[in-house]
Amino acid sequence: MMTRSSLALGIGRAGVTAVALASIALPARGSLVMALTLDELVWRADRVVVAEVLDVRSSWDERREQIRSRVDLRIVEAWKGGMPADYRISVEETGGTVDGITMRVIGAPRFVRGERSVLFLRGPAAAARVVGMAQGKRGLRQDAASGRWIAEAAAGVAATVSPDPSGRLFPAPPDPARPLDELRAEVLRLSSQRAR
Amino acid sequence: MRRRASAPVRRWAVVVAARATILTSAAAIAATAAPAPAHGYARFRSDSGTPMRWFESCVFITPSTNPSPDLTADQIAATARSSLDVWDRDTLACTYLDLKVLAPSPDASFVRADGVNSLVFRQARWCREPARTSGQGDDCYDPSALALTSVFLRNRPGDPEDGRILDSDVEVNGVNFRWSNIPDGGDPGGQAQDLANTLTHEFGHLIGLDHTCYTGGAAARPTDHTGNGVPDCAAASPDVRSTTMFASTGRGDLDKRTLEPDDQLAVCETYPIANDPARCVGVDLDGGDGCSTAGGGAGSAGGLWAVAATAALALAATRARRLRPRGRRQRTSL
Repeated sequence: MMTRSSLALGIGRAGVTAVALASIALPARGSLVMALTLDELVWRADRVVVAEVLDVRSSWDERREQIRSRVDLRIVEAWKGGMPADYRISVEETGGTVDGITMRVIGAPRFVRGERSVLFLRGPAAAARVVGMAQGKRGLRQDAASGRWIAEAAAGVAATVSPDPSGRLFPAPPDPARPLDELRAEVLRLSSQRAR
Repeated sequence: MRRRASAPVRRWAVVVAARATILTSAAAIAATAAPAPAHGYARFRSDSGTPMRWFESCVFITPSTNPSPDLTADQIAATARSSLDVWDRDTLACTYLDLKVLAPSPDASFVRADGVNSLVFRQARWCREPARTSGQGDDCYDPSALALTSVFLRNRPGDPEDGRILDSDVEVNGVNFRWSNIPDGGDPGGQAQDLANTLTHEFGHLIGLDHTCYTGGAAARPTDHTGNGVPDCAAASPDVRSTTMFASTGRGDLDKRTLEPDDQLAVCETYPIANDPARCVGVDLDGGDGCSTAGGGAGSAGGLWAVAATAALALAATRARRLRPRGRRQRTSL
């Protein structure tokens, strides 16, 4: 559970990090989104969870101007944010399909019923948002040979940038696909570092 | 609801259609001058895999009247115009695509399916405007997003209009980032993003183009126009990296202001002049082609553009009114 002091600390760190980020990485997504490292994703998230998509429901908003999708999730593991397994939360995202009309926000995460992923979430459990747009979602797949769960590289993410010989900034390879237990250990380590 | 064009506009449409026919032979010649690809380009696709595109000859972009802290509304409109021009038939003889920036309007402050393709600078809040009523969750965008492009499209497998772009809006984050026209000396501190660089890339998305490289992860790798998967961004060749639709930019980057051969080929093949629909005001959100008012595919003059623009704004305003809630009203069939 995030306390007021940790929240205040987090907000302060947010400002510092925003300034730091503004000075370095500016890779683009479908829309143009600043790249976030795993450390930054962990720090900006109220919750880091492994979750399974139970349902995705899209509808026009109350003004019938935009399509919104509500994604119901079952928590499998909570790495940050302290929630029991099987706890239910929901993510709200702009975009979706209703009656043959799709609204697509380029660069936003997309969810499919039944899929399992690692999610970096902010906001209330009833209407959480994914941190860093598609960067805050790491799809999971089970390796057929070993049976281990693998966390895919985040969709549309370039986690860091490095200058090419001409001095231009280009994305280094995104945080690569890696076994879920390795990612879990890294997130827990980063989370505990931030808590100190 | 299908709207009928007025008699003068219909006559104009006939004239312009005739001009388009005459110019078709010239188009064939121009098409042969299409740029040779370096590698490939990719397009957004509907769920059935149909590439997305506009069905009209022309697309109107309307800047909102919000200025940014560093740029006036007029400067933003001028930058939008120059960023659109590089994708336009006036620059590329192989395409019929006619892209125009209309006068700034308060109607363009919203991202919604209203037929107004908005360019909005957000500077007070990096959030949806107007805010939703309370108790309906967070309406604010991720602060890491510099700019967002939202697209409405028909997405119905088997429908002849599957993949048709209906509305597209671009929002720029003026809350967390500074914007400028760097070549004009607008960034003495070296801390700003070049607006034209960003808008040229975003307008590529607006006309239906995907990135020229794959950024990894669970999302499907886009296929290029030859049917092959696009290369990984991290391993992309310099040619691919230099494209406007490459998925990366850096602060101070100006290279995306101009198109590379792959970007040009994308426009030439998606909107080839030989296939000009000769229709400018076309999207009827109630279904069907709607207003068959305008040609404009070839040779349209400024005065005719004004007529088309006026018609577009009037139609958009009507749609906007229709789509807003009025107590108990019938659901609009999109």
